Amino acid sequence: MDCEAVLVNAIADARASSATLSITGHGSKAHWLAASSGQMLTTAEHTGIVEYQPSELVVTVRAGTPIKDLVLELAQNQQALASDPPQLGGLGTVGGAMAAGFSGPARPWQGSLRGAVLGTKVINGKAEVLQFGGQVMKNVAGYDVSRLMAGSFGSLAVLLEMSLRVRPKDSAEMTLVYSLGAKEAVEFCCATAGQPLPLSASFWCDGQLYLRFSGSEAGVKIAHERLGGEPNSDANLWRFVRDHQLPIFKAASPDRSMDAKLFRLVTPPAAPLPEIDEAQIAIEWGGGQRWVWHTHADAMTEYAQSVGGWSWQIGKPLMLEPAHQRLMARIKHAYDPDALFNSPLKFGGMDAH
Amino acid sequence: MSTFNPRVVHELLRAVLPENSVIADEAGMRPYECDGLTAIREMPWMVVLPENEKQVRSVLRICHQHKVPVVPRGAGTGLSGGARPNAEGLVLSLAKMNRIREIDALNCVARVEPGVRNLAISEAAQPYGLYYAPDPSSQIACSIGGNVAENSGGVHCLKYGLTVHNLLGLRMVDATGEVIEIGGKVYDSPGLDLLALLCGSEGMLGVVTEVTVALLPKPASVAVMVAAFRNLDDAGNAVADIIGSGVIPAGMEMMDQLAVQAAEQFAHAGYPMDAAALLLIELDGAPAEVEELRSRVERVVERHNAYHVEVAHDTESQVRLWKGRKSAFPAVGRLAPDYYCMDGTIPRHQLGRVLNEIKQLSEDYGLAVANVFHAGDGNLHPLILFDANKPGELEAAEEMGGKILELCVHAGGTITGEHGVGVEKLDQMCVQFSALELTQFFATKAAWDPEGILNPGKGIPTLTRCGEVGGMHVRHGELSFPELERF
Repeated sequence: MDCEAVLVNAIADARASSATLSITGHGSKAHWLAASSGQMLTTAEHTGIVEYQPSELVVTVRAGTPIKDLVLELAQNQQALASDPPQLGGLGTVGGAMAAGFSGPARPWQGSLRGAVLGTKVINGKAEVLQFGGQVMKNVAGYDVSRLMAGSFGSLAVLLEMSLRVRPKDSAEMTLVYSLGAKEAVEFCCATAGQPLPLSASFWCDGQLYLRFSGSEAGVKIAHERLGGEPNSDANLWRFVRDHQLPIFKAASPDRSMDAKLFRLVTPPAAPLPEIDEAQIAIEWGGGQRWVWHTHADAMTEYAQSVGGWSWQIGKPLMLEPAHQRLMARIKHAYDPDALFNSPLKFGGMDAH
Repeated sequence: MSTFNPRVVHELLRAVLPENSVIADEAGMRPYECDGLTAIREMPWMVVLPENEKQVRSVLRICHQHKVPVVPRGAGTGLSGGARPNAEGLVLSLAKMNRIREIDALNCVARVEPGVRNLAISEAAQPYGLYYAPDPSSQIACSIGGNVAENSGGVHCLKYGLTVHNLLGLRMVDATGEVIEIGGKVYDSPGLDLLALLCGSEGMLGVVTEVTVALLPKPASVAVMVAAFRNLDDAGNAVADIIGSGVIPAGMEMMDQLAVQAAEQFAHAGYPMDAAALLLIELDGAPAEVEELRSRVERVVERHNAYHVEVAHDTESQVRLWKGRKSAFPAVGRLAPDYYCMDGTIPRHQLGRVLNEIKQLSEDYGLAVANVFHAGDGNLHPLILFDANKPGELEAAEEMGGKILELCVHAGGTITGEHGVGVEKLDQMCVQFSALELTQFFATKAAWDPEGILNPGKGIPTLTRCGEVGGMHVRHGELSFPELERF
């Protein structure tokens, strides 16, 4: 359903009455982020595929469309999103995935949703409908505002539509399992990532490393011949990893301190692991993304910085460097001069509420 | 706009830079008067070549304080006049910052200074079996800093992405001289995506001082295929079908008859001279995988009436087949004293319509056009042939080029796929974007560079300019700023 006019009016009204708005889709990621105050503005009703031409490898979709629905439509043409964002129980919307900028386990090899964005239609804080980018893969006219929207958490504009690159579904796929400790698993991932093999996802947890290879029959077969490993038959594994449905992502666990919090650590893939109990760690992205249960946020921040990465405590605001905060606050002001959009992404200063 | 005291600023710059990093004499500055778009020239007030980030900071602090326009410059191979100097400002060349800081094979990344040549990164990564994927045609000369500024692509970007997809981190100096570090050897960063905004920003937001890029494993094997067709539609349909069949070639190029003939006479690649359209397709992967892809692609092109197919598995034949395409520009350059290269992108299914309309324009203007097309990603390079010595031909070529770009916009595409807006396509920006969108671009720029000293006058046209060229974008019949007079 096309709700563009409704959304534009809602923003214009809020602006006129000096109210603040908090933009949501289905709220599937609400527990990930510190809550933001303000009147809810939902894009969940703004749904539907606007244009899809399989041979162009592009789909244009409204923000409220559930990722699940889009993925099904693409699958009918043997295509898939050129990234695999979390669908979070099937409720997650394309707009929500884009606003959060989260990526699934294929990120290092198949790219992010941010990478797949070719164009956007948005409403800025002045209730103006603007279009950037387009439906073509190569486009360097003007600043890349479309990709700026990815990961902006509703701080700049309301996403109406986005054009996304899609890719052909792989004709073959195989997941291989290796029994390895965390350190050995990261080393094995790094060694594998440097070889011309069709690696498409990695996950380590509980002493098991899972590597997924996707591509042609021949390419996948070569990976198995070269690396060995046991084929894994669990068809749900990667969906559970992507949508955080495995026990490692759940708070309640008998071997975990009641005070432990979940942290997302983004690090160089080969970076040494934090010195903590391996049972509290899960590793994705060939080592580049680590999920850790820990009691002290400071220790995680310190560790991440020491290896050239960053840390985020799930449910808390993202921590930004002061220089970034100042610049991002000015960018927000450029899109939302009245600070109408109240986002969980905080820049301090003129964005303060 | 500039009101600074040249003598004072000159002295300040001399104090923070080595003697041979400041060029102020006419002969010394002459090489900087234009970039790859040689038709547009301007002598700068001065050229500076800092050797490190500290010197870049000092230069920008001085320029910020005295409001001196700064035009950042990489290797100067750009094709849209993005590095055209400002007569009252500095050219800030990053050419001396050309050290490769690190090849980190374990993390598959390279960390380099902005003046490092694109190809030099792949050369340095080669001992580790890795390479840097984006390969613009100027890769032996163009710099990685310039690639970031233009979001450069290359013939392999259909499969491996543009600069923005392969860029992991940057160090940059902002317009006030402050260093900002963005990303690193990591796949994402918290907060707004500054990396995406900087990529393709044509030197208008900041000056890059260090670049971290992803390196990929070199494919185990490569096959290059040439398929010739008797008409353009067959070739266009073959392209759509190859992609529709689920194959993403590493590269897929199309040339029309004029381009094929020029390239063949120039490079002797073995292209059939009577082809109305030629496809050049590169496939990569493990040997058995390449074989599987080759047979699939071969079936598709034969179904679309390809009458000549050649597959090259050995490096020598592959180089020969590519040589024709890679020398298409100079080859076409021999057909006429001058040519003007356009850079629109269109949805692939519009190819037939767009090429027909270009043919019509070619007849209307009496200027021949050769078409070279990155068929996989829809990036079209019509080369308009003309003779600048004939009165009015340059103007006619420019006008016709503008019409081709407008045609690309109306076909659902864009005025520039990879060359950038620079100064060349400012007028066509008025066609592609509404006044509100252009205003949003200016606000974005001001967030980074409030005084507007970085590459002023490039990339985004002022609303006044759009009003004057009469090309104002009208969407859904709504005229922006209806209260303004139009001339």
